[in-house]
Amino acid sequence: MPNLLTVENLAKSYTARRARDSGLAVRALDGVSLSLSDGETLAVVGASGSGKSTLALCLACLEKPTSGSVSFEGRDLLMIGEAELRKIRPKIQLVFQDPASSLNPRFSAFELLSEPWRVGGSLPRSEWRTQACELMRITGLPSDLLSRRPMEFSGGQRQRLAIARGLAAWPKILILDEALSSLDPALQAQIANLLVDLRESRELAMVFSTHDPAMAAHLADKIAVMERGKIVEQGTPREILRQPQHEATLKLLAATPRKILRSRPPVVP
Amino acid sequence: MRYLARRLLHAIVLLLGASLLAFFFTALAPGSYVDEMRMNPQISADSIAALKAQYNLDKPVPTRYAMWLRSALHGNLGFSFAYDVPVGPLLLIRARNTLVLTITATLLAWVIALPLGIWSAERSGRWPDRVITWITGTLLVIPDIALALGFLELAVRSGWFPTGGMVSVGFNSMGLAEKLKDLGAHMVLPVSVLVLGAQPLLIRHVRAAMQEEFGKGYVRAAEAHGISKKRILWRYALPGAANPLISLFGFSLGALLSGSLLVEIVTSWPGLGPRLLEAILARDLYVVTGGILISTVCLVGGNFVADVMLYWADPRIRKNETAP
Repeated sequence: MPNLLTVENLAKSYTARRARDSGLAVRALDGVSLSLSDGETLAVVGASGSGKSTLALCLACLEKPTSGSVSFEGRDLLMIGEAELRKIRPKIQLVFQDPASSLNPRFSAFELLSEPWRVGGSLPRSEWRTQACELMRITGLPSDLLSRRPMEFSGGQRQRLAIARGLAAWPKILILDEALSSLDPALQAQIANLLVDLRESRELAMVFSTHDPAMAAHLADKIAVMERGKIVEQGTPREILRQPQHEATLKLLAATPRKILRSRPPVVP
Repeated sequence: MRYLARRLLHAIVLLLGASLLAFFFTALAPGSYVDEMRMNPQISADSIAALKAQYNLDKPVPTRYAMWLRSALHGNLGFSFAYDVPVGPLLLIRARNTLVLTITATLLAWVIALPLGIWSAERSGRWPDRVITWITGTLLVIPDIALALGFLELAVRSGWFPTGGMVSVGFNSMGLAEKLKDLGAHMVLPVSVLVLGAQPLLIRHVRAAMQEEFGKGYVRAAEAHGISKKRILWRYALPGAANPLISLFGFSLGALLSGSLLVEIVTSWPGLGPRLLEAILARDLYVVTGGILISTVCLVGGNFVADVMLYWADPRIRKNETAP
């Protein structure tokens, strides 16, 4: 049984468009390897610009890596055709950093949530309403918001709607790209708890990126620390927090109040 | 409905302003139709004065405008000096011909520009896009008049389509199918010129709007969620780009209308253009004002159609009006 997700030696560089700058390629990812099994949660921790978002985009096959491979259930996603890839895509769902731009402003919440069913035909139309209500309930949103458009939601509600949208396709992997960073601490804790629940109830594997080691320790089974496109350290939360090896990890930990690291992060019921 | 009512009010104010400017500028231009008569020794000074009084040309311009406006509101746009008939019927049949030309050209221009612009945006930077950009760039620098003359030359040399006019001799004795065929053949020349002339602007705008849309977060998100290209185009990108494109549609209708006035003159299409030109040269005041007014009505009407389409297409515009 292969791993759910295996990433080997992934590299991505962006080349500057202008001729003047040619030859100056930015290496956003540089030899990244990682693996994920069913129901496992991986936190990617790093300062901004360390390549977390590029990694998330490559995992969701939105950016084409320069080299390396991404395999899902043993199949290399970079080698298969577009039609084939489209069938796999619903199983790997990405929740973007900014839900205000990643949710179609013209769709109501119900239309957003039912879109994968409408496209995939996996669910009979008669059950859409119940399922959508269920997703709203799981993510703690009142179901009377279903007829509203995303712009009528508050920031925190919108982020939860984006997560609900990710869950609607019934994925095996949920990738969250800094999906919590823009929220206030109370909401962060609330959504973190939601993710913990989901992992248990749905056997969902998760990859989430954050610059907050405490959040990573709270949620993840393993943590990967990134700096300048490379994974500089990988391990369990205990290993990373207790015996940090790399300078980048130390720097990130130093930027977090010690008290929070020792205790668990505040949990709002 | 408040949105539409506001747009309608806006349109009426615009019309009033346009009629005011058209009237004053034409009236303030040196000379008048009657002045030309003064050169003719066979017409006595008395009869000239009588004519002036009859046409109210002896009154100050603001008074004349007020009188004209009052009668215009009753549907009477004044009298043509040169033809000695009311302006309304003189212009309306011409306006109809112009509209036939403009509307056909607008629709055809969009039918061509929309897919090309989308196609170009989807392949941004690759060779189809480059070829289209190169062609639109070339078309952009060719003035409409040169295009018209080029097509005229082609028509004369090849004989593929009529070189001018709207219908052939004996049009009235034709059957309906023949009539349509004849009209269509005569439209080839002016419509081609108008459609080609409009392409660069339309294609480039469509391309830019679609390109922006394809780069938007929710379009990329839809792609990552595994939604097909076709569905992304129809359900995400096109509705997203609809607002600027609908506004552009209203604008293009106006641009093609004014463009058609020129093309009509070159291809002797019996529309408003030739009549307006002739009236301006003869200082036929009310025909000029009426002609400008009718063109403005078409223009404002086009923009109003765009506003209605916008209202229909964008749920947010409909929603806003219920907000306090």
